[in-house]
Amino acid sequence: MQFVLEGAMGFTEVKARILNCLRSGEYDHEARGKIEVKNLLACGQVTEEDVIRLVSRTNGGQYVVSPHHADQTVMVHVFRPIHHGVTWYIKFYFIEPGAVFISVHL
Amino acid sequence: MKIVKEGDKSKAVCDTCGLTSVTYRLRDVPFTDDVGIVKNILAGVCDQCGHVVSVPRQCTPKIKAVYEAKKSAEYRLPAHFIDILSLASSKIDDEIGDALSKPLLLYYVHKLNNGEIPAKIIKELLSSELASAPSTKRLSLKITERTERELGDVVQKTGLHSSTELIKGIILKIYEDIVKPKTPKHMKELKTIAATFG
Repeated sequence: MQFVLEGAMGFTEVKARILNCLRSGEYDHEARGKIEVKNLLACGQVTEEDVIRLVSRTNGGQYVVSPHHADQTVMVHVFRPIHHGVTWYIKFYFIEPGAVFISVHL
Repeated sequence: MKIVKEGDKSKAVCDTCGLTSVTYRLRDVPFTDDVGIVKNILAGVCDQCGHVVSVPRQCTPKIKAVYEAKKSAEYRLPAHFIDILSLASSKIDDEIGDALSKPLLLYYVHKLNNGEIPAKIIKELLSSELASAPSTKRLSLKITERTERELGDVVQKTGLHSSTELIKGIILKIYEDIVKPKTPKHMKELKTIAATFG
């Protein structure tokens, strides 16, 4: 379900911002008491460069946004780029000045 | 790159408390699939409920090391398949011999994954006469999660039912490529790989 909020960021801005976070290393990983094995970036199974490549190839049709289940004021962004015929799933939210990755997986 | 210290503060979403302030503290943090536990790393701890809600990027190398802790994969194979693997390894490098079995198998897994070897060949080889025999022996390999994933990808690409079938098919390919011919096609490349295991 996609929510459009007044003043919300558009896809282009979200993409630019998460790329900036990846390049500057300004991000954490969500851990609900445990480290999510579906977050391949957190587990070092994909690199920042891999995720930068995937985010860079994501288009607006592969993006959805919705409120975080635990806090409706925080928007969770999901990118679903396709690379070599495989759909990736990159889920994150922004917390100034960086981001928090929830999952990165096939 | 941002580096956080014990006691530094940030924000994150806590499942219990919502958007909250967190303090980075040392914690033992398990994985969601109980693969293991990453001991004594900085973690973002909710200032309200005390639960771990985030881990900083700087902990990835340590998390990766625990995540990749090796586990054993077992494959039931016909006896002559083990012999084929031994023969191939010895042909490449007589001194290292069986120690080459695993790298040789993973070499082929990788070649299949990147398309250098067509996936359909494996299925064709599995219907050959050499493939039909009871699986009375066991091959045990210590593999990383990453290798396990790559095996899974290749099983999908080849349309097979299991990693065991894939390993069988690869060993038959090894027979065709290395054991059967007088001079294997990729001998130079294979010898280079063997040299790294000296």
